[in-house]
Amino acid sequence: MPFRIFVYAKFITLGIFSLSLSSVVSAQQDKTTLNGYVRDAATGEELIGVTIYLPEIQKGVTTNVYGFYSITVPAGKYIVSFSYVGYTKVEQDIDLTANTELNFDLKSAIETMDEVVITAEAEDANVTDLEISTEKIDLVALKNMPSVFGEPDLIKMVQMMPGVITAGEGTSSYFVRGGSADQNLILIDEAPIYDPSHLFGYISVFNSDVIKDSKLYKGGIPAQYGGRLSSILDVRTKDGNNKKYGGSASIGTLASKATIEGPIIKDKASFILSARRSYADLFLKMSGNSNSVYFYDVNAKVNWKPSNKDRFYAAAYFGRDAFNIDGVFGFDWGNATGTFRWNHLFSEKLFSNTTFIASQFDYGLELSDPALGFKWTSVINELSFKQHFNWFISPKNELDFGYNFVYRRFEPANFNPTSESSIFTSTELQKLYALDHSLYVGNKQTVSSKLSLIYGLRLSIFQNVGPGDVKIYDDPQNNIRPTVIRVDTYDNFESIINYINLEPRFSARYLINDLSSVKASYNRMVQNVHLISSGTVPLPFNTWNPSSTYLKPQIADQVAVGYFRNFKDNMYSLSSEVFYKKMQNVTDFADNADVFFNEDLATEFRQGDSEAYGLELQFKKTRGRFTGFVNYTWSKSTRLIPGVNLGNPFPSNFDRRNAFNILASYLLSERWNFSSTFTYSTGRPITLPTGQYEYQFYRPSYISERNGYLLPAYHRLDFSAVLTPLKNKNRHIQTKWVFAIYNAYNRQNPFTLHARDIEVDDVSTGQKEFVMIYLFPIVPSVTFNLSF
Amino acid sequence: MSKNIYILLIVLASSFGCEKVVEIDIGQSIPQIVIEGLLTDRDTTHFVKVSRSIQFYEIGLAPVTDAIITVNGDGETYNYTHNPMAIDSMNGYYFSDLEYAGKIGADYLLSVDVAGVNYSATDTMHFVTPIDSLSFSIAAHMSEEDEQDGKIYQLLLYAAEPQDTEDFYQFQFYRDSNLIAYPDNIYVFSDVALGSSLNGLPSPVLFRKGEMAGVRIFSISREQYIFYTDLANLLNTDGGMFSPPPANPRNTFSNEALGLWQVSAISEDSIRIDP
Repeated sequence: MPFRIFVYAKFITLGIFSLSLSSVVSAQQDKTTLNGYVRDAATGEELIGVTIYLPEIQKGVTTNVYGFYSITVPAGKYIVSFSYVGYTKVEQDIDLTANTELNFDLKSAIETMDEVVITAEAEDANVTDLEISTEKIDLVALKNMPSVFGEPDLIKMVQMMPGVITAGEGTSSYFVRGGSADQNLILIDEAPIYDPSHLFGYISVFNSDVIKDSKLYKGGIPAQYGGRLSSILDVRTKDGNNKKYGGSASIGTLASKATIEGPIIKDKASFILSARRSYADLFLKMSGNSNSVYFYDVNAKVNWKPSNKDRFYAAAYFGRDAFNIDGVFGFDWGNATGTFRWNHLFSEKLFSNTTFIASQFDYGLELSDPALGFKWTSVINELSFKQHFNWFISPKNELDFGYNFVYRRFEPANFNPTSESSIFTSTELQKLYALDHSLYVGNKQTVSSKLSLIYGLRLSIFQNVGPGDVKIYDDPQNNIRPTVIRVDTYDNFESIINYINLEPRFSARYLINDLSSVKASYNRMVQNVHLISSGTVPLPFNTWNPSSTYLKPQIADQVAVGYFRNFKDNMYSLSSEVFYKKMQNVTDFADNADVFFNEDLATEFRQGDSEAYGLELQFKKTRGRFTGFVNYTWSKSTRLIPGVNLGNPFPSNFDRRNAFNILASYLLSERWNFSSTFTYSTGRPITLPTGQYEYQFYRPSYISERNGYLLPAYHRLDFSAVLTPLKNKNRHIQTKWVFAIYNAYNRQNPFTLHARDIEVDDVSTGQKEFVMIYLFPIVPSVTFNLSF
Repeated sequence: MSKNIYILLIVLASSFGCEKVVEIDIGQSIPQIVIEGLLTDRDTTHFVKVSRSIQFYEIGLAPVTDAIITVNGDGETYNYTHNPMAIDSMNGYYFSDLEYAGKIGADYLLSVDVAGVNYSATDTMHFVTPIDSLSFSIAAHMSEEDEQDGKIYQLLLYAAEPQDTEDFYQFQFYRDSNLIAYPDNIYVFSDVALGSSLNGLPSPVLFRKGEMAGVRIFSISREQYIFYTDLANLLNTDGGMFSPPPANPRNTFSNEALGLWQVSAISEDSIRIDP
């Protein structure tokens, strides 16, 4: 029995060796490869993570992030099943005599079933998936979830996941497993977003109408991802319906948006265009207010799929925020990304994705005044090339490997007077340049029906390059009077300093039985970009720096172990994980650091160690009229930074002992769906004064300890009701109403707390008090959606 | 600059949100020595104020009356005496026994001994650019409050800015000879982004018709400039949400005394607002 022998061979030899063996063996047998794309029947969108299973031989595979699958089996007659939750499962007889291309269209369950049951994950994915510490964001729940101004926001859902802590109400920043906000890599169609906030974070840059799939990796991160320590948020947008034209529009309290999509060549090429704009500024203008605030964003994508062999995609994102106060002070910021992608099949088994990415983030501050007028701008540019291969060697081994090159240019500050009579002169901070090469290989191996492994290695070669001058300081930590011993000058692309790091990645899943599994992972992550921000929440005005002579790469080692269990035919699932994360060279700043316009910024850097550990529990109900989850996280995160807090350890800004999130959704009828969320979290650590003194006519506070106090706990309850009128069925245009109440019991949640003088007529009384700022009281909202 | 951004953000956060005064049990802090010393290039008696920090919710001053104070500089030693006129409100103030003037370019060492601990700091007196002239104009931007109050005139200052030296300035403004003392406003400048002349630099405070508008420029050292920017950040902190966590201003004192030894040359001028 050659097949049995083959299985034994695989058992004995693990790793790469077995891979080559398997190829050799398979070449000698009559093996055939079934491959193709799986799509949504109505829209032609490729589906990510569809399970293709051959029950006779108990072998299966899932579609990759581009919707492609490939499975190599001995020639013969099989039943092939395609299943994806939310879609009707299909089985098809197939006679495999030679390599076969089979594209398959799945019908959405909404069209075929009476009772609508949708979850984004495969039913038993929780237990069977190889991935640990990974959250797939449920986009259907997201659309029904209550939100502050009725605008569904991906980041707000991310902030509810176990192990994720929201940076504060009204922010789009989040902290993952004790890491800072800049340790999260946020990708839209593979392009990085440097600041995900609109309106200082009240909502994020993600327009929920165009998101196809979204996944958050907190640990067990595959080798193809790198560059940040704590998490990867991988967001993929829709390609556009290639069967028929369609569109949607919604009118909300905060913003309105419209989307159109359709075929350019039926089944071969399509486009999608979505735009969103806030209109608070129009109301302000009408009410005679001279302040202005708005944001907009545009997502556009075209694709051309001449054949399975070659497919081309071009995607762009462009978003901007602009504030203007009284026509005097203006500030704006925005991200722009462009992705060009080429999918190519070198063979039935070897899938290639070639990507070119451009990303830019910039901000500007402008004061219009005859004498003091200035404009300040800052830009970061990134160009990158990715060559990724996905080799479906056999049902037992799936190899990912590739190369990634990134060029980054940092322009921290350009300062120019805006009038002839200005007292200022033009000045700028030196531009910085970096090159980043990564080589990676990762294998997904099914060792047995119970044990599966993912293991890989990523080699990161980072170069800080010229042109530029590097100041060599007498004492690099003297930020009061920095003394430059000499200045080293570097030419274009001349290497200033190199950092080479190996990042091992490993995760394993062992199925105890059909209902439960244990998983474990270890990964090392390296980060060579550093956010220059000493506050808790990053601002759009923060700049980034590459690793350099004075900034070492940040390194994180993390282990996580989990137990996963499903109940009642996968209706309920339980995930539990513990993690421990040790970080080296985390970037912090000296007390009183000036991070805005500082020619000797290097003297403000303080790097040190950070440690985080915790327990995460998630209980989920995925089927029935009543669905939802309960997430709980217990965690601790501390920092020890020489030169900060007198060298004593202190709770990091990201330390929250308890965090608790509940989402409950009830489908009452075809017309009404009700959702509710509850969130609780321990207060943020904060530095508060313990004394005060007199200096001239000022009353400064006296500070004795960093992060020595906790803000009061944060908690909030929200409701939403979605009304889908029944007459929709007979209409071309479908309508939907979303009613929401944010902060239902009107909790005054502390945003921040600070000390101030009690003043009478602008004169201090010498008495001090603490003032708490809280943002949202109870906020009702209504959103009207229509689609055609 | 950064201070302005943080203030702006607090304004924004407060305009979206609401404020509430809260009582917090912050425990007891250990009183710290606070020293405020000023030496100028004016030939006069100079003072040093010594006190201790108090608890957050307390009010007033905890003066230190038994310190031993000397200033050394330019080859001389100057002794200071506590409250020589024995005026109650002058407790904690020490005055130089002699009238003297600081010299530009000279270093001055302040030494304060309290209960067997020595707190000392050295600073240099820097050149200050003289004020060429003053004028005034109606301000381009003003708050409604100021407008109703008749404060619509800004003072315009004309002076040269030496480009070959690294200079720092502190400004004080006077309304009819009274110092304008807003408890969280500090006016300090670095010349990093300044051109070669201050050609009509507008004052951040506004004046009424008929008032005598005055300005004083203090030359300050880099260390003093850092102290004042730190102090401005501390007085305007948002509690560390967007701004850095609040911290004690850096200064040059040994043994972690709070406050500042300021050594400054002064140039000043005033003008009647009579349009």
